[in-house]
Amino acid sequence: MTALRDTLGALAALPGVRAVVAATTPDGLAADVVASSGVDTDALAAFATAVFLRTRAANAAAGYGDTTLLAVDAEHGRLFVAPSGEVVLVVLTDAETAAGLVRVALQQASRRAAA
Amino acid sequence: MVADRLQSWMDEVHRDPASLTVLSLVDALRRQGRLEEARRYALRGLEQHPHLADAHDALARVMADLGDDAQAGDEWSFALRLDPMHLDALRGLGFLAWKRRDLAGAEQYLARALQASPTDDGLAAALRRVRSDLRRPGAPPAAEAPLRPATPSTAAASRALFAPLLGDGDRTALLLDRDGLVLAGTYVDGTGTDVADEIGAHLGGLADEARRALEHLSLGRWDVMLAEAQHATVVLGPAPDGAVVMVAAARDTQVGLVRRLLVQARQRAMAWMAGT
Repeated sequence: MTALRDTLGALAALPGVRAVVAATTPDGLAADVVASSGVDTDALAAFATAVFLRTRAANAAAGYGDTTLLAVDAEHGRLFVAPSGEVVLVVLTDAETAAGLVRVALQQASRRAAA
Repeated sequence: MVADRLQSWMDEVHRDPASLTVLSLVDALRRQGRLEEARRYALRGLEQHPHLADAHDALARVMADLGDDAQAGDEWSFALRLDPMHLDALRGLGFLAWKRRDLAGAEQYLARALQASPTDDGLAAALRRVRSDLRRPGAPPAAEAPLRPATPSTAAASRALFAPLLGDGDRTALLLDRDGLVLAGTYVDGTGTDVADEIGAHLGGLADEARRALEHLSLGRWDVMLAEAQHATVVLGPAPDGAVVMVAAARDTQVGLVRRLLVQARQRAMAWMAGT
């Protein structure tokens, strides 16, 4: 858990990040959270996990293999989801946050967990 | 001077049969009324560049000047399959439709052409003329007009909608309606089978899932959805009427490039939806 908490902390320290959640799959329950106030982290865990799992199934069915990252840009924020061992890491950011930085950090976190 | 330039172009085309100077040569010969020569060079240009919309357009113009409307129409239709927004092909097909009094067809082609070139006063005037003719008593009612570009060409044009964007790389793009059914684009797998419907069905549902999630999270409307997988990068973007544009590229394609292709694909999709 310490390693997971360190990972969440590192992601949460990135500019523009409002919340980081480690969610279990397939149920989408929050296993650990680092978040600003005002973020419904349970809803974040549940819905982000659902979208990620749907994406993973769609990519697999399409022959694209395992999904390594999902990113959704929306009017009021950006959502990033990546698998990390037994959980998925969910990062919620402001709409203006640089996606590249979060993407690389999530990929690194994902690889560390897999190692 | 003109003769010198023509000779210089001919010399270049003879030296390098693949030179695109052939297109300028064909046009110059056609304008001089040397139609048989223009036709021969246009055919040579097509042999070298069978997938170049401009080469089909060049031959179409010559055949139209020779009075062979059927072949001109075929060549312009082919140009549109290669590039659904090819301005001169749209203009040419609009002209042919008008000639045979297919005013509804002419209006559709010219309207698409004007979308592609909104500041073209000549096109705007032609479109006004056609619309005026349509409103006049005795004009063939739209319901009786022959189906616009013979359904097979329409289907082919929609399949090739994104072809100019994708190049020869391992990429595909689809326009899906709100139910995940394919509106335009094609997706051929390694065996040559068109799997667009299947891919569309799998990936089209993602947009709905994302929409629901964002609504519950109060994040507003979605703009881009990007999924990186082992063998592909897939990006989705919303289009009018609940439709979705999807671009997929081999995993080694730069993510930023795939996103850029989505922007271009959405522009094409929106122009095409407005014109259909």
